[in-house]
Formats: sequence, C-alpha cells, structure tokens
Amino acid sequence: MDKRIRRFYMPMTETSFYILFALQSEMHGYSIMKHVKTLTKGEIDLGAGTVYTSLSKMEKDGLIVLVKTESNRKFYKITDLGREILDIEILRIERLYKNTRA
Amino acid sequence: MTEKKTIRRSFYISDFEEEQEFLSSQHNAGWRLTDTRGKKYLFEKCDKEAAIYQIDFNPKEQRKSEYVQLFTDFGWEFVAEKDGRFYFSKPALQCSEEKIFSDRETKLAMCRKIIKRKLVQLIPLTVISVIISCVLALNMFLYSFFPLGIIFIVSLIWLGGLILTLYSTKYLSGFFKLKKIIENMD
Repeated sequence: MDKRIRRFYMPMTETSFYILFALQSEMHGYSIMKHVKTLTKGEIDLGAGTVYTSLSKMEKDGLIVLVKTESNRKFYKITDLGREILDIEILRIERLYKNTRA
Repeated sequence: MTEKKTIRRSFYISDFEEEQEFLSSQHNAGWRLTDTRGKKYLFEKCDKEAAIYQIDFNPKEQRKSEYVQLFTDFGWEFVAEKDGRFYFSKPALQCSEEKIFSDRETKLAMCRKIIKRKLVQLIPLTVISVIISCVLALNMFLYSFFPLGIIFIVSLIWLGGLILTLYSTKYLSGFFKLKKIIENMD
C-alpha cells in the first residue's frame, strides 16, 4: 500500500470512515449523508462541502470508484483498496473498544 | 418589476468568512444576492428573512453540474460563481447554524486550496522584480550612470517598492487570516 495513503487514512477521520462504510453499497452524495445520519441516529450530520471534498479525494486515491452518473448525481462504490483500508480501521477501532472496556 | 441594487466591495479569497457575513446581513435586510461580477454584487429585493450564505473555493472543478447538483440535494441554492468561488445560500432555520463543511479536515482542505492560489498569485510579482533587477544590473554594468539612467532606475525602484508594499501587506495579512481561521477551527 502507498505510504501516502497509509499516512492519510490510518487512522482516518470519522467523516471518511462513515463515508467509506456507507459506500459498501452503491450510493451518491446525498444518500450517503442520509444513510450516515440514520446510522448514527442523527449524531453525524455531514455537510455538502465535506461530502464532496471527501468523495473527490477518496476517488483520486482509489478507495472508491465512480460507478455511474444518473441525472447529474455521481454514484460511488468502495474498491478493493478501500475495502482493505476499511477492514484495517474496523480492526483498530474494535481493539480500541476492547482495550478500554476490559 | 423587482427592485434591484448593486454594491461594490472587494473581498480577498482569504476573507470568505466576512464575505459570507456580508451577504447574510444583506439578505436579512431584504436583499437577495442574484449574481456577482468582479467587485460588483447584484441584489434583488426580497422578503426580510434569515439566510445562510456559504462560499466554497473550488477552482479546479471540471464537472460543475454534478458538483452543483450535490449541493442542491443538500438544500443549498447555487447563486453564483466567480473566479473559483461558488456562492450557495439556504434559508436559516431557527437555532441552526448550517455550514457546508461539517468537519475540520475538509475545511482545512479548502484553506489549503486558498493558500495554493495565493502562492500562484506571487508569480507575476516575482517576474516583475526579476525584470526590475535585470534592468538595474544592465544599467550599472553596461552603461555608466547617465543622469537619465539614474532617473530611470530610481523611478523603477520606486514603482517596484510601491507595488511590493501595496501587494505584500494585503497579501501577507491574508496568510495571517487563514492561519487564524485554521487555529480557531473546531
């Protein structure tokens, strides 16, 4: 894995984590925000600029890929690289949880 | 016919927070932004209501319609675009301070784009100063100091100094402003 990508996404921000987590199924910007809001019971409310900036960066870094564009909405999905990073992050967070709750 | 007005004001890219404030207060007073060209802000009479204005600096966007669509989905109205600055507005709901950036990292990314733009702006200034010093050097070594040459040099130095001070104070304060914005980010 690229050193630069490792440095930027490990550990990753809460925003990046939830966006990447949501993109395990194909979604566009607004549906990601809705999904994350429901998932976190309204605790995380992503802004439009934040979603757009994150998606552009993750696409450039190869964590997600553009699947299709429908009525001006870009649909993304996680890539193998994204999957790998997400799994590492989940493991890290689980370890954090386990060790602090023990 | 709706009443219109134009206000001339210049905001540097690093003053985007003040610019947002200015547009919001105009809307609160019943003037809705319709367009912006150069230093001119075009307003149209509207109901006095609270509105939030947000500026995104995104100069390299190639797929503008998709970009604007995403903001529209989030409830932002796209008002205008000028030199990489995108103006969005949204009616302000009670006790909500909605922003286009919900996290530090992405807001920081926008500040970095502004810093990059400011560094690019430095290029013409550098070219000018290189030319001035070349002319100076030529005058010193190739021609012995003719009175006319001295005047020429002095005027060049004066002009260069003037441009430099005018430019650098505004230019530098922009960097300090950005530094403050980044430090105060929550």
